[in-house]
Amino acid sequence: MNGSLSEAVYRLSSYTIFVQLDDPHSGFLLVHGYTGAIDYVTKAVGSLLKSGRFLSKDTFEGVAYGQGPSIFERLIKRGYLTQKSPLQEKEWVARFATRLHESARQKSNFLFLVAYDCNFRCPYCFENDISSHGKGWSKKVITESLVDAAYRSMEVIQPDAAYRRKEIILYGGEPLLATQKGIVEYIVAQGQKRGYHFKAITNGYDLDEFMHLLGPGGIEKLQITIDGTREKHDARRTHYQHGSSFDKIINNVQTALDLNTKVTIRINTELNNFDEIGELHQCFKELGFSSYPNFRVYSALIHGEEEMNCNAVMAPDEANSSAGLEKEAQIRPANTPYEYDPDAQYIDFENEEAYFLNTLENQGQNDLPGYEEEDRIRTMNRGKFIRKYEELTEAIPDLKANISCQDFGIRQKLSQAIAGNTKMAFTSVFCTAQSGMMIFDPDGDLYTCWETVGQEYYKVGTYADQLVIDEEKLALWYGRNISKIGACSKCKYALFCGGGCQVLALKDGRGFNSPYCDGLPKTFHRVAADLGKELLTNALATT
Amino acid sequence: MNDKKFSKQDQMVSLNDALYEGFSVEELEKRLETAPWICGGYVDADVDIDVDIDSIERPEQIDSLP
Repeated sequence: MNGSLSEAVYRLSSYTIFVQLDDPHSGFLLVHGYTGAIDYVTKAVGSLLKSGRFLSKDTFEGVAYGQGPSIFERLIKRGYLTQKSPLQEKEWVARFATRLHESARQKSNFLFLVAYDCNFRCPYCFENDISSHGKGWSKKVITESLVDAAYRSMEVIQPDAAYRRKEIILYGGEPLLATQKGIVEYIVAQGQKRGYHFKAITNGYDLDEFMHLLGPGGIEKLQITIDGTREKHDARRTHYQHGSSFDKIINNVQTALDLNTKVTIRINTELNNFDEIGELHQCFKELGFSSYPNFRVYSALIHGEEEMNCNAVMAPDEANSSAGLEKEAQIRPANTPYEYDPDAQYIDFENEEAYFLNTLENQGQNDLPGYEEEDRIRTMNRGKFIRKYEELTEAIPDLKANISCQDFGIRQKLSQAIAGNTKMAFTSVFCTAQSGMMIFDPDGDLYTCWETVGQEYYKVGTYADQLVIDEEKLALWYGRNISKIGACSKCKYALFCGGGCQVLALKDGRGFNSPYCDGLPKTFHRVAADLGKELLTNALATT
Repeated sequence: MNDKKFSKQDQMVSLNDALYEGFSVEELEKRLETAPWICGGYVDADVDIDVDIDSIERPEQIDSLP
């Protein structure tokens, strides 16, 4: 059926996200899942929007101050009210996601895995598995001939220099081991000849051996992990010979900052060291680090295997074609009663479409009672992490400006869209492993995801003698976007998260086109509500 | 962060202006810029929250539209 609603009737877009704001504002922040609109509406307007699937101008006539009609038109303009059918919206998002993915795929990103060896023995390192399965703490370091082969391969992988990202990542093991100084100098020198600059993900211990490479044009950025104040950090980030590492790293950070290198400190956090964030904040202030514009800090969540994934029970590994959409709409009869929930994460396209089609035939006939929603969020470990961060920032007011936390980039995306007045930074993939990342390891193997390095199964090719890419395997990574993931293609938040971490979904024993939700919706609501509160407090305070 | 001013009487306040609008995919595809996109990797959150959108080299325009 190819119909449309009567001119005056609209439906609430399936991609409307209602973020409930706390008192004293008690309205809603509306966020649209594919137009990228962000709006504040009062409780009255929000309630009217939620009052039924189908809405007309009359619905808003009662809104105070004579703003009713104009609000109705604005809601249409912003995308919250639409005459699209649910499946038309779904199809639109699928095509949008595919187009975003194609755009991202055009850009190649490269990473040198300098060596698998490391001078630290951190208990949570995901590369620990490598040491117990064959390759061990391999002493194999990437060679000059492999580096040359890698640079040649980059030009084959992406012939157009404009589409190669100019920042190459140095990674390990530990990429900046003193014993590897020669090869790192070679990588940087060869890269600089080709117009590249570098970022190193390092533990920072041997950094003093690499100061001559730091700064603009060379190794411009460093990501260094510090897991707490001296005692806590030294207990878990232990040098295999010298033990404690905190003081040496701090000295190196100071020098790197003075060399105008961008330094990002990562704090790996879990329940036992969460409070260290506040103490580290104080420590960095006392050291003067916080006053450097090139210094920043974020806390990251250590991901435990026991964490429940909210999609574990409802996400089939399936692709959705347009044929699939047609079939989907026929599964349940149009008059099957079920509960309408505009706040649900997952859109029940099957029922919504049936309802839509049914309404075309019986315009004016509306809500039916009854059906129990099956899709429930079951895990919130990420939410707890965000909640604890919020508690910390309330206790230490200046912490938020100096230390961020992994929130899927939600705060940044929303803030940027508002402050920069730019289009929402939607993404249909989770990270560059699904778009254009290529990792060169010291065995001459290629990978796309740095959490899979050293594991034969995830290898996507070789490059030592000549570049050989296993296109089938590569497609398993580069082919994934939210339109290919069953659960994500029904999720109104999908363009904010890109489907979640592919490798964590794989570790859960699911397929390549599986989601990894990781509490995104609740995190979204917490962060958006907090941001909304800030905005309203500031805006209203001045009126 | 945001300098919008509004009063308690405002029933609706739009906080951003730049939208993916035009409810036709074809129209969107013709206008879609190569999106500044942000990845959300766990290991390197620096990538997802420190992306300097303006500094990313990216194609100016997509010509090969489906």
